[in-house]
Amino acid sequence: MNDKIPPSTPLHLDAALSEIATDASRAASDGLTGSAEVRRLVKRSRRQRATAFGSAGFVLLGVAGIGLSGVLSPAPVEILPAPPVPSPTPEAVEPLDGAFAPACGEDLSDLLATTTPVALGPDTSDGTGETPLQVTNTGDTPLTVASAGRVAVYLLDAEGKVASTHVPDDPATNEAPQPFDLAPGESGGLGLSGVGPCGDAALPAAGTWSAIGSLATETTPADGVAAAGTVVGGPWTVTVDDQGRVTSLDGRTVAVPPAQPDTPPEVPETPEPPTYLPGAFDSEKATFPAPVEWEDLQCGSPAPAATGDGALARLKVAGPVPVMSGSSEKSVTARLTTHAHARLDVVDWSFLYEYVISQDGVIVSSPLIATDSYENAEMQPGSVQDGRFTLAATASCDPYGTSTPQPLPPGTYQLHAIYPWMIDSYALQQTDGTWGRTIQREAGAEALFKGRLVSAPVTFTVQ
Amino acid sequence: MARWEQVLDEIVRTRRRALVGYAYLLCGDLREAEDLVQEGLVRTFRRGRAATDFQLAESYVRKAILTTYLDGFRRQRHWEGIRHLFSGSDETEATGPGTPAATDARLDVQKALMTLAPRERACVVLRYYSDLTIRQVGEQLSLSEGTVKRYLSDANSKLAASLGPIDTPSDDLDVTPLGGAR
Repeated sequence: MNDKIPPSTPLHLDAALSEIATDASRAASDGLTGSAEVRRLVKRSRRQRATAFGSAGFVLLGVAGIGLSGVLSPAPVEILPAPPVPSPTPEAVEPLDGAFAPACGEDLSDLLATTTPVALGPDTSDGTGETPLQVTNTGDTPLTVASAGRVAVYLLDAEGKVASTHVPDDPATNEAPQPFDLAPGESGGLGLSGVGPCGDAALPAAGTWSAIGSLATETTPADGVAAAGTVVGGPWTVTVDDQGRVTSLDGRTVAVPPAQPDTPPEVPETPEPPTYLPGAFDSEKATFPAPVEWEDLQCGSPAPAATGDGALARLKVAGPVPVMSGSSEKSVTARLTTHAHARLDVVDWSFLYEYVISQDGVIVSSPLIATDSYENAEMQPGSVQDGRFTLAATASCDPYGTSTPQPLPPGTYQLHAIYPWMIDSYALQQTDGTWGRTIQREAGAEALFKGRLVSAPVTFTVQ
Repeated sequence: MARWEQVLDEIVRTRRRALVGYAYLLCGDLREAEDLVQEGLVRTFRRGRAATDFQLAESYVRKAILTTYLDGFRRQRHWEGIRHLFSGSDETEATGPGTPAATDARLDVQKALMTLAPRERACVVLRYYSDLTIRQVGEQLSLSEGTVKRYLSDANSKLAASLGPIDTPSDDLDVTPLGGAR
């Protein structure tokens, strides 16, 4: 502790604070990289939350042939006031990056429907109700659109907040993804998934709701590279029955599967469950590996081993790592894949893809940052979530951020992607195809698993 | 370029370092301070509010930084990285940015700041660094004036215990320096 005798001269606290802040300001990075990252994050967020439903921005939905009329009944859903729209011409809205799984209560009143390169809307040509929605190529060139073929539907309450969960299709009964080869203006029909309750609440009341839909896709231009993203559509007026099935969409009847009254909607039964499901679980409780802690990832520690699937998800570096030069920075993509037989509720760290660098089996750079998350995310079986981090060819070995990282000497290094991983609840699919009960973190208790996912190492070179 | 992008660029170009200094006073870690600033910028600009007015936008960013900092402590799922703020071990001794140029007195102040609870620390920063009135501090933190005074009094007592008498710019505190060697 402090063994000095405090001075008798009063300390001018305001001056001392100003001096500390000034020094911190001088030591701050130039922020050029940060500015670009902020812009990217804002744009990404604005794609999800830009102008409100009902605003001029919703001219967008005209692309998919949707209007707002009749959207908000019988419990009228308030059309939220639109914030200022800078331009009368709505900006193009691209698919969302990665997975999109809004949590119950999340405010989606600002969500924008995707307009390019595809849009999601009612399939007005469908007379059977088997494909109530369609994905349409809104561009000028042919596209191939791959998806699971079923749109996840989320009901919205009067304030635009999510009032239902998405009932995932049972992987065991899923058909293989059906790609559409779409000429400009051409559409492909899609089915709907049912809706489930929020937490322990009852199913959303049968009746008419406002709803939005999302579809995870991989879109490939005729002469381009495939791009994964989530296409968003809506809002639509849907009618749901007391089984959580959508029975109509924008006034058109939707073909519904037979009711299964004893089956909880979030655990769809397989008509004929397989006798043994490879890769599934023998117990409804997971046995987690020892977590990789923050202390394990500091400079001088042994290079971390890949965590594999033990914590119900796998992390990997997606794509090649470029050759680096001293102190240079490159953007690198990491991919988080949820276990194919697990449904998870985790703390959302999708903004915090990180990394450490090792050489000769020892960590030589560990620029892990300290932060917090305020959101949770539902991870569906097999879902994929991509994220990016900026790889710097520097040795960052000061966990308290008080010194300037030094350039890495030329040589060969190993890159390990890192992702904070905190599981609040999970359910595991059993080898007989059924789903185990949901194991939840108790109120006030630690997460069921708290550690970090570590990717397999990827070799890269610093010149 | 949209107006909000112009404002964002302007803030990052001209005010980012000052914002990092402000955030650093709150969290005591340069990297976390930069993270707080980034989070504050994203929170401010993603919803469009204040996004076209430079000064309003900066005030929103500061508020977002403050809220993010306090929320981080309120939540149970706090991640690693701030634990060092509460440790007295040598390896976590308070050292700030630009340590080579730091004076002993300044390091003492930084170390003493780390002994404060988050809300005490926020009150101190807003009152003595941002130069807000007691009422304005209360408005920023959604606290009554009396509560702010109590936080400030407690904070100043703690600071005085290790730093000696504190010369505060106002007489709205009831500080009794403990003094003496510890």
